[in-house]
Amino acid sequence: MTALLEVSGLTVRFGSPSGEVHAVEDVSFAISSGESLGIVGESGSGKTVTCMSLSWLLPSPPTRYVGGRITFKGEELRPHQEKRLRHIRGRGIGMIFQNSRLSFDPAYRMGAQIAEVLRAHLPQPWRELRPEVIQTLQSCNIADAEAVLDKYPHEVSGGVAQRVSIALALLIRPDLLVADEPTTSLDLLSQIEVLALLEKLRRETGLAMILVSHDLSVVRRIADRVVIMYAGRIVEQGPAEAIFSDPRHPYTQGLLFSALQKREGGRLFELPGTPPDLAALPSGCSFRPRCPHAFAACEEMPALLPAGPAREARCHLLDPAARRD
Amino acid sequence: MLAYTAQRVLSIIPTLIGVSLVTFGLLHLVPGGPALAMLGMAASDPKAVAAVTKELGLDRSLPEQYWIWLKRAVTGNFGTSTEFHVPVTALLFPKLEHTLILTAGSLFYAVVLGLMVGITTALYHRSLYDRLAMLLTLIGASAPVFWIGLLLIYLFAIRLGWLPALGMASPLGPPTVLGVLKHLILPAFANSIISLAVIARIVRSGMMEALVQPYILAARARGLPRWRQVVVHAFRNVLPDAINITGLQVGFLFGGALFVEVVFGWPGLGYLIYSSIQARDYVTLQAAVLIVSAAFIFVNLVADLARMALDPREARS
Amino acid sequence: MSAATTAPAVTGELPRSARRQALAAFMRDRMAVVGVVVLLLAVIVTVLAPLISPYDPTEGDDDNILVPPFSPGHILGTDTQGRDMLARILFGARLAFPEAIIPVAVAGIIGLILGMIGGYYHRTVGEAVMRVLDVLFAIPMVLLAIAIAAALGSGLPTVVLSMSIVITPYIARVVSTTTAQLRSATFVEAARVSGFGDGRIFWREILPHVIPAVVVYGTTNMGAMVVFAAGFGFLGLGAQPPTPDWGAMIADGMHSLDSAPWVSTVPGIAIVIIALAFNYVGDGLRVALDPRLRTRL
Repeated sequence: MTALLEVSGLTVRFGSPSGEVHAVEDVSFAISSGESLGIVGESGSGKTVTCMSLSWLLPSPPTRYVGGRITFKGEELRPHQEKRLRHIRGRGIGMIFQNSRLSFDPAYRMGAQIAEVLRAHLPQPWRELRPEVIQTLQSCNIADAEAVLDKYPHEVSGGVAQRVSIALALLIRPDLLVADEPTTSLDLLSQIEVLALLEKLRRETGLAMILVSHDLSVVRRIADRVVIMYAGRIVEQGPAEAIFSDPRHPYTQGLLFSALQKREGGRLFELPGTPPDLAALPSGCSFRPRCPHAFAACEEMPALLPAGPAREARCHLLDPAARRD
Repeated sequence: MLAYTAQRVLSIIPTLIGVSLVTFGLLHLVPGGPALAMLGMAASDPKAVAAVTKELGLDRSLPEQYWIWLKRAVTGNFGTSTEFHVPVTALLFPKLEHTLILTAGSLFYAVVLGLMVGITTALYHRSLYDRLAMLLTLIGASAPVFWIGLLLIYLFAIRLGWLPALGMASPLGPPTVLGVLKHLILPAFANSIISLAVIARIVRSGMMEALVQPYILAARARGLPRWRQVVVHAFRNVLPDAINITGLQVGFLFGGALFVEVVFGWPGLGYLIYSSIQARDYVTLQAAVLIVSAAFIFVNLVADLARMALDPREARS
Repeated sequence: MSAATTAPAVTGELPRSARRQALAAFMRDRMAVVGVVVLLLAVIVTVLAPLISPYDPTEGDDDNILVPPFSPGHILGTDTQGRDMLARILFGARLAFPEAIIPVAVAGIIGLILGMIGGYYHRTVGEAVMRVLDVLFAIPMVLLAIAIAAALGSGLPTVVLSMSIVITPYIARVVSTTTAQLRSATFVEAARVSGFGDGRIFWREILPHVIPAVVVYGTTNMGAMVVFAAGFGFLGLGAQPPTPDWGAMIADGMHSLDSAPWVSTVPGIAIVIIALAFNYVGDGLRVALDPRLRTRL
């Protein structure tokens, strides 16, 4: 079976005063219909840029799309083909952002903004669509759906805005839903609600989903497969269960360990050091300066090596030949 | 919103009183005092001086003088022009109409071209076009309007002969709308340049800020066409600022009209002010300043209310 | 690399190094530096005008009327009375600079005082002061200035006085906004609690922060002042003939525009160059003195 979306060799850079920022380097992964994929990493790991690049969303320039092939439903998507991409965005690949309140134009009421998006993709007039809009909003746990349509973005809470934006994405019936840190900017109660909503969607619609988060517990609840990113590269990927029970890359191990500590209410364990400056990456493995196991071979960037059934990790520890010396 | 509107409308009353005080004071600045200013050449006649002194209460205290002057001004009695020997009101209002035509034309250029330049330079910022447009607007804003007017006359009227240089209508035959519009092209453009540059710069920086807002990226991600991202969303959020700055520009356009009307022989208030300065006709000058200021206050009121109505966040607070 | 450039922000900076940073930021702005050079050259030439000017700017030559530019002996041509344009431009600058600078300086000082009162005592006297100034905003600036000048009679002092009057409210507004912000700043609060008098707070705590705002505002608007002053000359309210005044020179060329366009064009170019230079310097200063703008570039 062919994948719904296939990304291969995606490389994205930006110019900056302190040099070229290597935001995403040689990222490849695939997702099939009905599957859910979690992308995990700290801020600056390239996870957001990766999912923005799926429909070549970031304006270029200043973004430089250096390389990579993106195939969606068997069709290759190319940057700058705005006319074609416009129909993929929203309709093919729906997106939800970190701060949904900011993803609505402050100058218009929510209803007008929903109507505008629907008009751009669907042939029916707003009058016909309205009942369905109300219904979808209600199924996204918005009780006073009618009232919300008449509100301005600054008049609704972050949690409501996030649920409206999920409902809006669903209304166009995308093949793939990309959620970029959908719970990060919300209060705890809204986090739980939004997460439950996404879980329900997964169960009931079987919609393919990419969930981007720095929070492992969020990804754990939803993802079938997981991609771990560090400094613009994939460092480990594989089935969620396998990765969470037996992480192979030292970075993944550190992440899981710190999450575990946090959950048990213990002293906060953080990975020592900070992620590298993407404009001045260290030579060799990017994780080397923070890695407790670093050794001579790490002065060269490791490749993604097989690490079990359907698993890969970017670490020399998995290479018996490198380990020997 | 309603309360704000009422409050804002009422707030022009103290402003109008203040402006009337300033214009009233103007005649007292004239060496020789208001009697001389009112009479001009006729001040050599002691009987005339006595009559004016009595009529205007010039022998009374300043507040009383102001009160007498204000009562006359409110009823439209600004006195008699010392130069043209007719009531100033009769002189003023036809000219005001001409100046409003010129100002409206200038505003049209300033807004339409200013928005076009501002939006397109923001979209292609740092391009060659952007740099060139910004340099030209800066030069335009650094040049005197009357000088630009003369350059335009030299180029388009004298050298190329495309457009008329002087007046408001062809001297042959009755004035036509088309004829006035044709005469309006050059003076209105000359007058608009500084405002055009200001609007273009404000809109450009506003658009650059708006275009990188999350809601624009979201609009893109939701598959909205580019023009909707730019016009319906980014520009809509710059609009309140654009209206605000445009309202302020009207004052500069009235000021610029003074020079442009002189250069282009446009028979408006500016030209009238120029001739009354030349003729030391202070009565006419005083009334003209008052009328133009009142028009300016009114335009700013409208711009302010429009800006409020367009900003949902401000309208509620 | 980037750690080194961000370090000073964390460690806090000494005033002297702040000043050095501002200077460095200013020097990086190429157009601002060009502007400074142009203005310096212009000032030198202006001061030396009597020495380097090839002709007397007020003396006509009936045999050489309306000589076009680039003619031998008259590089910028001559005007309707056969006076050398270059000489008139050079001597005209001796009026143009003071006409722009003095009003800004006068209005700067008065606006500083009024604005600090307006911003600091904003519930009492300050409110009244700002209300009075508000009235002046309601009258188109150029119109008011010209009306005052016309009432007072023409001449250089009149021009300077009326320009000072109309720009004072603008400077006062800049100052009062800044003062109002400073009023609630921690260090001013602290000074007040420590029992320092208002005079000392004005002098030691507020003035040093307000002055840069006034300098930037003044410099940015100096270009507009050069243009503004030319307007008085154009209307015949400036220095009286035969004194060379750039605005009056443009008016002078109006009637020979078809045969001798340079008489109006040349002084206009001089105005644009000086105004443009001031504008670029003002922009450079604004960026250099505002750390927020500086880091954004």
